[in-house]
Amino acid sequence: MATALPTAEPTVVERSFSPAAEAELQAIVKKYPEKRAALLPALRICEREFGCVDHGGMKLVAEKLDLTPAYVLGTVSFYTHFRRPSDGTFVIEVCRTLPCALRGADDFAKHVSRKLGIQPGETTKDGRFTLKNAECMAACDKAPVAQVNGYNWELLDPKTFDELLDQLMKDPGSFNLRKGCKDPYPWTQPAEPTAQRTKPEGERDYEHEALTHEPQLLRRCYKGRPATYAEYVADGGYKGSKAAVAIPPAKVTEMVKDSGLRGRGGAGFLTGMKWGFIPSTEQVPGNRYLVINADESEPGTFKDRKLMEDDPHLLLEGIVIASHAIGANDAYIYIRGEMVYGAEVLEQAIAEAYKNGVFGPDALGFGKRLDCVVHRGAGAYICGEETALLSSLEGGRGYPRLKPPFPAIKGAWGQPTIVNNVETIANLPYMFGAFGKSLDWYKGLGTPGLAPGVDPKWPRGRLGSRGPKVWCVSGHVNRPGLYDVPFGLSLKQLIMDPRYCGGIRDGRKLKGIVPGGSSFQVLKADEVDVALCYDAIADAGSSVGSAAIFVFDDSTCMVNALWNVLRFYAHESCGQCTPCREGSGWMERIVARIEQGMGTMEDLATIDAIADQACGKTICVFAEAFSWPAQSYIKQFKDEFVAHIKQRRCPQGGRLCAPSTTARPKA
Amino acid sequence: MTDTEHDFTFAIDGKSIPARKGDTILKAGLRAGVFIPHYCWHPGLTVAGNCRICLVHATKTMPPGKPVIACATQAVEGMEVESDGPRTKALREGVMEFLLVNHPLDCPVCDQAGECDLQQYSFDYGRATSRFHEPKTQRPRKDLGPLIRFVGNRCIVCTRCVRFCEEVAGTGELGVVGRGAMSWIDTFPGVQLDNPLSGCVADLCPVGALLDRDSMHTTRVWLLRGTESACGRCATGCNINVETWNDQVRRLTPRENQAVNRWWMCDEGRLSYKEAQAPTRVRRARVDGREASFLDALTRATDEVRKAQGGVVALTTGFATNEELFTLKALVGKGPIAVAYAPDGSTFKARDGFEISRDKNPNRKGVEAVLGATDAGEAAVIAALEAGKVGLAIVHDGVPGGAPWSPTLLAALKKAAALLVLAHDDVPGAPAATVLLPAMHWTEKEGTVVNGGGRVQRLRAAVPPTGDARVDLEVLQELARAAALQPRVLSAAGVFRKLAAAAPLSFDGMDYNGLGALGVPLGEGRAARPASNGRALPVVDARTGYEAGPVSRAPGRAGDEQVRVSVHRESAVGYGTPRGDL
Ligand SMILES: Cc1cc2nc3c(=O)[nH]c(=O)nc-3n(C[C@H](O)[C@H](O)[C@H](O)COP(=O)(O)O)c2cc1C
Ligand code: SF4
Ligand code: SF4
Ligand code: SF4
Ligand code: FES
Ligand code: FES
Repeated sequence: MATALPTAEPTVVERSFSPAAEAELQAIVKKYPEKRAALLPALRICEREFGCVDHGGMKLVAEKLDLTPAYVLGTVSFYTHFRRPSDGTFVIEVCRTLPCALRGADDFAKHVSRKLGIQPGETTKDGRFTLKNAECMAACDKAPVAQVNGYNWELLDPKTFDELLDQLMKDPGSFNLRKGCKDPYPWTQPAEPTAQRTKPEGERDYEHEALTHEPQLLRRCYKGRPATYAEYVADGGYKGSKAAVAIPPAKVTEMVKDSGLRGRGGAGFLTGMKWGFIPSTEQVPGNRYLVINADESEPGTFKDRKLMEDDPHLLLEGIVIASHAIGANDAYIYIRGEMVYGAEVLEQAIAEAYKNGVFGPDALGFGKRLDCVVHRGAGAYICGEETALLSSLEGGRGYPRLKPPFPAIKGAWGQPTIVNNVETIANLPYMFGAFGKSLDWYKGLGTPGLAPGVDPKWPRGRLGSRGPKVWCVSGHVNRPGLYDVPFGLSLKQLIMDPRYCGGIRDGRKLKGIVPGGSSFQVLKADEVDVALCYDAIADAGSSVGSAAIFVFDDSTCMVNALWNVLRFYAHESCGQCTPCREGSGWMERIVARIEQGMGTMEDLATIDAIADQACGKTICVFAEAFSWPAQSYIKQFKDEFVAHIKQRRCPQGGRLCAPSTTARPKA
Repeated sequence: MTDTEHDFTFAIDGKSIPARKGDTILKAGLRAGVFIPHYCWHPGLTVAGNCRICLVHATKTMPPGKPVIACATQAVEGMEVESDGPRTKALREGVMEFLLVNHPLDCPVCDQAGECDLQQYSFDYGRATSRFHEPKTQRPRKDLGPLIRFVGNRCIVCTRCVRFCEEVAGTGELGVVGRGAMSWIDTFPGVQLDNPLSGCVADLCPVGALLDRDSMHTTRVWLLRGTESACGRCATGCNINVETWNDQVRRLTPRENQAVNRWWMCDEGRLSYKEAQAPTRVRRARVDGREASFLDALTRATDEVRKAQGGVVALTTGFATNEELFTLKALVGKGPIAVAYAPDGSTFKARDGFEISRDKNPNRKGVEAVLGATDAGEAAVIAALEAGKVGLAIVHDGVPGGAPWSPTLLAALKKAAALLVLAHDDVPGAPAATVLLPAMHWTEKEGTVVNGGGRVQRLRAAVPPTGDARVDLEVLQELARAAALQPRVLSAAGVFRKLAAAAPLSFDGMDYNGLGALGVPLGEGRAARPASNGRALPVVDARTGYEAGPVSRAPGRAGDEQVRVSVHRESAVGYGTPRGDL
C-alpha cells in the first residue's frame, strides 16, 4: 500500500452544553417536524456557549441531533456567518458590494484596515478585532456599511468609524449601539399632496397618482423602533386577517389571484396562482407549510429589512392570511443570518402576537392552530432562492433543489409549501380590509398591464403591476432610500425629481441604472424614462426584480462595476452545478484581468460564450443572475471594455468612481 | 425488455424507446442501449442532477425549449429527445469545458487515466481546445481512510461518494465542504472513512479524485486484464473482476449483480487477494517433510491412493468448490468426509440491502448441496481413524490461514497410514503430512461455489497456480484416476457436467457456461435462461451490468490484445482516422 499523506488535522476539543443551553436546544427541536432542522439554531447556541463554532461544537451538535459530524462540518462550511475559532472578540465586516462601493466603501475599507492594522481575513494580535470583507447587508442606502458582531454600523466614514471604535473600546457592550439606526431620508410623507394632474381627464396620470400617494407599506416605519402591537392595531392592523380567516381558504386564494399581486422577491410570479398549485389534502395528505423568504440578500435590496425591523406586525398579519389560504399550521420566517436585530424584533413581535391570540392553538379564533417560528440563516446569498432556502431551513447546505417537483407540491419536509417574500406577504392585509383599505382599492393601485392576452400556462409578461410597492434606491443619487411609490411612475422621475431621489450626486450626469438588483441588466441613461412596472421594465430589457434600483453616475467605471458584481456571484454560487460553479469564477477572473489591463478582445467573446453555456443549464437561475449583468454591461458599455483592453489599463486607474464631494448626512 | 413489459414508448434521436412508468429519459435510454453521458447519476444512488452532462433537448417539457437533464426528467409518451444532435452537442461541449477549467489535467500521473469518465467524455463530447487562461483553483489532498486517498483538484463535486456513504453504507463519513468553486469532499477530523464498504467510493468516483490506496501507483489500468469471478471471502460471493498484471492480482473491483451484491463489494474482500501472496503460503510440495518436485509428490500421492484400497477418508472445508467436493466424494466412496468451516465473522447490512455475510465460507451451501448432511462426518472420520482402517486421509484445506480443524481430529489423523494434505498456508499445528501439496487460492482456480443465497456462481482462475503446482481439482482428479474412478482429468466444466447430471436436484439442468458471469440459483437450472454478461452496454435492469466503476472502466479487458488508441475526434479527422478504425 502506498504511504500515507501527512495529515495536520485540527484537534477536536470535547464540548458540552450548559443545562440552560441544553434546554434551549430541546425547545428549538420541538419547533420543527425534524430534528435536523435545529442544526443552524444549535450552531448559534455553540457560538454563545463556546464563543465560536469549532470542531468540538460541531461534534457535540452532531451527537445531539443524530447527525454525522461530516454532515455538520459540510453544513457549517457552506455558510460564512458563523463565528470561527480564530475570530477576535469583535468581528468587523465591511460591506464591499456594488451599492456600498459606489458610495465609497473601498476607500472606507482601506481606512478600517489601516486603523486596525490588519488586512481582511486577519485578526489583531491582541485577539480583539477580526476584519472581514462582507457582502450587501441590505442597508445600501446607508452606505458604507459595516457589521460588528452582527449589528449594522451605517453611514460610516473614517471619522464616525473611529469615534465608534473608541466608544467600543470603552464600552464593549456598545457594538449594537446602532440598532434601529435612524434613517437619513425617511420617506414617510406624500411628496406633494396637492399636486395637479397633467394628463387629460379619463386617462391614468401615474405621476399624479404617485405624488399624491400616501406611503402604505412604510407608513408605520421610521420611528427608530419597531411599531408595537397596540400601535399597529390602532392604525387598523389585524383587521385584514380577522376578515380573511372568516372567508373560505379557496376564496381567499381567489381574491389574491384577483388582486394581481405578484411576488416581490424577484420573479414576479402571481401570488394567488402559486397558492393555487397547493394540492388538495386528498391528493397530498399531511401538513402544509408557509415559509417567508426574509433572506433579502440581492445586492441593492433593503426593503424587507425595513419592513421587518420597523413594522413586524404587518408581516405577521400577512402570515395569518396566507396560512389560512393554503391550510398551513406552521409558518417559518427564514431571515438572513446577518439580520441579528431584525430577528430580535420579529421574536418580540411574535411573542406579542401570541399574547394577543394572533398565533397559538386557536389563532385569531378561526379554530385552527397556527405557529410562527423565526429561523435564522447563516450567511449564504443562495439561500434566498426558494428551494435552497428550504434545504437550509431543513438544516442542510443551501443547495437549490431540482424542479419539478415545485415546493407547492413537495417543499419543506416533503410537504406542500409556499415560499413568499416578506413584502409580498405584507401586501395581503391591505386587500382584506386592514388600515381601511380594500381589494378594490388594491386593484386600483398600479398599472393594469400593458397588453391583454395573458398566457395562463406561463404567466410571466403582461400581468400588470398592482398594489403598493417599495423601491430601494442606492448608488449615486442625492437621496438614496426606500420609496413607497405605486407602479407606473417613471423611473427617471423617481431618480431625478427633487421630491424623490433628488437627482445625481455632486451635480454629475446619469450613466446608467440597474432597476431590479445586481442580477439584472443595466439600462443606459437614455433608456430610463420607463414606467416602474413589471411589463415596461421587461420591455426595456431588464426587470423589476427585487426593486433594487442602483444608479451609476458618469464617473463610474463599468468594468470595475461588473467585476464587483461578479466577485459577489463567484463567491456565492452554491457550487452544485458544473456550469455555475465553474462559470461564475471563470467570468470573474476574466473581468478582473480586463480591469487590470490584461484583457483581450477574445475575452469579451468568451464571457458571452460562458453566459450562453451556463444560462438555462443549471438547477436554479443563479447562472442567469451572473450572466445577465455580464452580457448586459458589456453590450451597453462596450466602449469602456474595449478601452481597458486597448489601453492595457483601467482609464480611471482602477477606481470604481469619483469620491463624493458633498458631506454625507449623519445617522 | 419484451413488449409486454413496457408501458409506453418515446423517442431518442428518432429511435423508439420502450419505457415503464416513472422511467427517466436516461434510465429508459440505457436500458434500450442508447447511451447518454452522465457523471453524478448512478442507478444505486439518489438523483443529484448536479453535473449537467446529461442535458438533452426534449419535447413535452416545461418551459419549452429549455434543455433538461436526462437523469431526472421523466420520459412521457411520445416525447422526442435529441441526444445526438447539434444542440445537444453544444450543451455537452459547454459542460465539458466548464469541468476542465479548474481541472489539473494531470492524466499522465493520474491513476484514473484510462478509466476516467472525464477523459472519455473529453474524447467523445469535448472541444479540442480550451479558452481558459486563468489560474486554477487549488484544493487539498488527503487520505480519507485506510483505503482511500482524495485528490481534491480532480474532484468534479458529483457527490456520488457522499451519497454512497449516506445512502448505502449509512455511515455518512463524507461531506461536501466549502462552497462554489472551492467545494470539495472531506471527513470530519479524527473520523476515518473506514466503513466496511469504503473502497466502493473509489469505484464510484468518475474521475481520479478518490483513489484506492492499495492499488494506486502500481499499474496503469489499461495494462490490467480482468477476469470475471466471485469473491471467495464470504458467503455473499460478490461478483467481481479480478484484475491482474503480469500474472499478479493488482486489484479486485465489483461487478454488478442485483441478486448478489448490487454494485458493491466489501473492503475485506477487496483486499483478500493479498492472502494469495502471504509469506506462509505453501509454494512447494513436500514428501515426508522434505521439499520435492510437484510431480514426485503427486506420484507419491497416487501411490498412496492405490495402496489405500478404498480405505480413504477426507477432510475438507467450506472453501472447496463444488467440483472439488464432488471429486473428493468420489474418492472416498463410502468413506466418511469431515468438513471444517471458517468461524463466523463480522457482518454488515447496507441500507440498500447489500449484506456482508457473517458466514465466512464461500461455499457452505455448496457443501450441503454436494455432500448432503455432514454433521456426523467428523465423528465418523475419527471413528474410522481410531479403528485403524484408514489407508489414506486426504486433508483438503483451501482456507487462507488454515482451517480450524478440531484437536481431536488432528490427533486422530496420526493413525492414518498415509496423510495427503493440500494446504493453502503452512501454519503451526498443521498435520504432519506424508505428502503436502499447495492448495490454490480462489483467485487461482476454476469452479463453482454456491453463495449464502443459494446462487451457483463461477470462480475463474485469474492467475496461474503458484509455483510448479497444479490446481486442487486436477490433483484430486489425478488421485481419482489412480484409483481407477475416472479415466481422465477433466476441466472444471467437465466435472460440473458430471455433477449436474449425477447430483441432487439442485444442479439439475445447469450448464457450466450457462452460469455466465452472474450465476444461477440452485434448483433453477432448468428455468434459467443463459445469463448474458451484459457488458457491452451499461444497461440498468435487474441483473445486467451497469458497473460500479466509471462508465469508461472496461473490466472485461481480458483477452483484449489489441492496443487501444484514444484520439480526440477532431484530431482524428486530421489524421484521417475515422472512429473505430486503426
Ligand atoms: C439566486 C436567487 C436569490 C434569491 N434571493 C431572494 C431573496 O433574497 N429574497 C427573496 O424574497 N427572494 C429571493 N429569490 C426569489 C425566490 O426564489 C422566490 O422566487 C421568492 O422567494 C418567491 O416569493 P415571491 O413569489 O413572494 O416573490 C431569489 C432567487 C434566486 C434565484
Ligand atoms: S445554478 Fe449555481 S447557485 Fe444554482 S444550484 Fe446551480 S450551482 Fe447552485
Ligand atoms: S481525473 Fe481523469 S482527466 Fe483528471 S487527471 Fe485524472 S485521468 Fe486525467
Ligand atoms: S470525490 Fe469523486 S465521487 Fe466524490 S464528489 Fe468528487 S468526483 Fe464525485
Ligand atoms: S449594504 Fe452594502 S451593498 Fe447593500
Ligand atoms: S447525470 Fe444528470 S446531471 Fe449528472
